[in-house]
Amino acid sequence: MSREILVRAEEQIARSAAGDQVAFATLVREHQGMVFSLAYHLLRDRSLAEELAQEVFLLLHQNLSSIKSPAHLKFWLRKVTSHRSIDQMRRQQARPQVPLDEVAEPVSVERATDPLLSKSLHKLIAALPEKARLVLILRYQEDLEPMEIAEVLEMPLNTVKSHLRRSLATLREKLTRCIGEVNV
Amino acid sequence: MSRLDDELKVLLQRQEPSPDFTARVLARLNAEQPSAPLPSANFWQRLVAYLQLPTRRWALATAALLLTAAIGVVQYQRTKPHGVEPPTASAPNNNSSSDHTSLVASGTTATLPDTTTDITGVEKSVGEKNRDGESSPSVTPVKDEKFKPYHQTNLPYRKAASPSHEDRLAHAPPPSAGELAKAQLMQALFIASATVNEAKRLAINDE
Repeated sequence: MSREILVRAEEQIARSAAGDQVAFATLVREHQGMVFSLAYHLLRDRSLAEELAQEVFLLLHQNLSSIKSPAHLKFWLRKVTSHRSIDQMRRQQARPQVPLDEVAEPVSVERATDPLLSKSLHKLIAALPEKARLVLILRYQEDLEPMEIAEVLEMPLNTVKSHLRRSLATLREKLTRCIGEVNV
Repeated sequence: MSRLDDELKVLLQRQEPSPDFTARVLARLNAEQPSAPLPSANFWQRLVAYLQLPTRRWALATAALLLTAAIGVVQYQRTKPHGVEPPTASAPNNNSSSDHTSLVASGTTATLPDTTTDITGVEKSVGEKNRDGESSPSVTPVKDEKFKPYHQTNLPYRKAASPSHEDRLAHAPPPSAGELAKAQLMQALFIASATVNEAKRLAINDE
């Protein structure tokens, strides 16, 4: 992040904390993709994920004075979204889950991947334990290092590494079993 | 980087929420922000506003007047010198043999009559020796019908021995000044309460 962008981001946080709604709207627009995607990949429900993302931004508005830097803002958003998503998932466990097949595909860029592999992978990720799924999402969606994931989830580094290793091994094994001789 | 990593990166890439997401966040923010608290009237302002109606004003004035009167009565009763002295033992001692009980009841050591009555009701002269030849104590139980065996009494039947309710009322000691004051206070409070209730009823009808 160049110095100019950093200074501008810091100004936006300061103006938002001072009550400038335009600056806050800019902050929301910049980070809504990250917050929404984290919630969506965990919950697999667009409306629920949007609701949760809105709550996270409302909470951010209340805590803007405690945000010290743009990096801290990202860290804060990831942490709050992760914890809130896990809470939501636990609440949801009593309710019937929406099958993955019925989930509307979000608007996204065209992928040059195998649709069968994609579909199978979706189901396998959804079947992972919640903490392991969260680690995987933070690793591949946010491109975070295990150390950063450990900080966001307040988890020991070795636990994060073990979650990652075990999840990838499970996915690889099940995927091979499902689609046969695909080199994964 | 394996193929699985690539697949996961594509599958878990960031996605955008609906286009009006930011607007909805701001709308919720504006809706949930606490509005400025209304300037709340203090107790006296609210009381004055409550007493704006003339009926309520009259009711309040009446209640205050009655309360003052009640307090005045109580204070007067407290400060008033007691006019009636309670009966004491220094009453004239024209005792005959039938007036023993009043002397004993008043706790005096006034002169006792020459004759006494033992528990069985047999009168003995003071200083008469008992069965062992010793002198009996000078104070003996008073003469009372109820201490006699029933067959020795003159009572026609047992119920007549106890005083009736009318007798008790007739012989009850006069109420003390404190009791009188208490009774008057209760009366005044009753009148005040009734007046306030009436005023409240008028106020409700007025509304």
